[in-house]
Amino acid sequence: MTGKLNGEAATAPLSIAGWNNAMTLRDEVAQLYEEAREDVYRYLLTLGLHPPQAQEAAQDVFLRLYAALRKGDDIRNRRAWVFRVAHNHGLNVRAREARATPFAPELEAQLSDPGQGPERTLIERERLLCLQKAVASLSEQQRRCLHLRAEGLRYPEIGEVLGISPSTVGEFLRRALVRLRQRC
Amino acid sequence: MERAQNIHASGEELLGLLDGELPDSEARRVRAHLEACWQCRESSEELQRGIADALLYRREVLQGHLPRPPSPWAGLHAGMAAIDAATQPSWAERLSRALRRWLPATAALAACAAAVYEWGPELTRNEPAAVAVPAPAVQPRAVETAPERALPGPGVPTLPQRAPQPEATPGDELRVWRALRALNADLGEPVEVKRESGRVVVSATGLSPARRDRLEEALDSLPRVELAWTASPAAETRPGHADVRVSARAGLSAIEERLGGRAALDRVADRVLLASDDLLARAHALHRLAERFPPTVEARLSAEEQDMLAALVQEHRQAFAEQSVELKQSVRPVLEALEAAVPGPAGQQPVSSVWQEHARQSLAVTQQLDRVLTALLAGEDAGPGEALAARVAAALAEVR
Repeated sequence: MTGKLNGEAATAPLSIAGWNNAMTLRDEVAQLYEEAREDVYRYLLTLGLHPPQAQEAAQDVFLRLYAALRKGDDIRNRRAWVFRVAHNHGLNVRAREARATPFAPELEAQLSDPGQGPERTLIERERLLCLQKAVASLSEQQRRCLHLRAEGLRYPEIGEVLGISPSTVGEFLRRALVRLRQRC
Repeated sequence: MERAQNIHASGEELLGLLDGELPDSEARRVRAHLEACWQCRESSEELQRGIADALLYRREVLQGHLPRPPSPWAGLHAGMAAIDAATQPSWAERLSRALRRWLPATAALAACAAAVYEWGPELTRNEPAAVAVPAPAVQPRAVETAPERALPGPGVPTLPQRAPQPEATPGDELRVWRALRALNADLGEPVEVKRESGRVVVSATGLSPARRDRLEEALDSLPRVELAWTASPAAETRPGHADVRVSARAGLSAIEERLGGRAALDRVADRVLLASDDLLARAHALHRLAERFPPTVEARLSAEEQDMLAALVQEHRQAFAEQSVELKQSVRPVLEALEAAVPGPAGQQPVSSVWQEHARQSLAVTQQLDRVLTALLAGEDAGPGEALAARVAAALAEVR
């Protein structure tokens, strides 16, 4: 079989059925990659990875997904899987480079700067600044729960990522939401 | 357990209903209650406003202000093709075996091309150590950081030969603790770390496969580490107060009345005991570090390792402080209901400035607090509630 695989030179001879499966899977993973890579990238930034690391890690995670699916792993919720692996991989990257300072975007400074968003009113800017500060005041666990829930993970999935029970996830989320409302 | 419909739904139940996380029977009950109760409906709407705020934050703050990805996104197809090529083992094996026999220099290169770099949750300890996949098309720049597995040089067989390694140092063990910290695996999970026969041995009992995989993933790249998993029928959750049920004791009826009913008492008790569990887990984690790295061992670490240890200790102490505040707040309604003095900040014991000693003290006071809280709320102590409450207040004051 010659190079029909995206213009690659002939590689290992896959069977027709295997080739079809692989193509469908590739398309699916490629589509999820299109849809979710920016969200994963941003999530990794919130974990403290620097932008180039975060981007590389995000790309790697989708390849891992493909490898796992090709191996036949049964992955029900691929988006949740991607965030779980991104979370762990992100923590590993951070742990390996403990000496490097974590990435800390100057969000408060940006939000305070009127030049940044002239189309926003002062009230809107203050609201966003308040929200940013409120989120920053959450405990790390509460913040993680909030980020992951906003990415669509269910409580058991978030619990898997963070090593806590689903009911604790619920409790952390509740506290986080209450904090947002109380402060802003 | 049937609950009367005039008892309010908890915040957790309301959010659980909104998020579709309640079991059907509970969802039905809460929904029915919401039809009847304006207050709870208001509370639910307030939670929904909180959710809207969280989404606003995500959209306007995060999406709006986090830096854009620095490079154009690479296509995934080259990497996926490489993975496809590699998952044809019979061809690759045959080829690499043949080449290895006849052409040692090129064999390694062919083997590299044929092998797949598998890391992640699916990696098991039995697979030969992985080789980096040739996927330069995916990485938009030349690889500067070391990949998780080094590409073996020519002439080296795919199974890496481990050269005799030096003994594991306290610094090696410290790196393991740091990795466990990053996974929150040092709080009450059945994971043990010790140095034995020149290796840092990490053993754990009764972990779920998913959790094991996660730990392996984190620890695989650390030097001189060995993992030892034992299966056991034990559940993954750590022993805590989950099964403690507040019993109807004479001493508790006063609290029950003040708090507004049995359900309210249950909720407060659960919250208090959960918070105490968390605090105890932190105290144990700190204590373990103090035992593994007493001042004599700490002094022998390199400057970088000492910083690493200080960062770990600081993280735990910070969390301990935050959680002790939360615990004190959650116990407050109970103490107020019993009209016991709400604890002030000062305790009786002097606090040591040596962190290892402070860790020992913290563990002792936290355990004492946990004992009196359990006695008060689980009805284990037969004494009068007021005296017990005074002991709780005193124990709380010591936690700092």
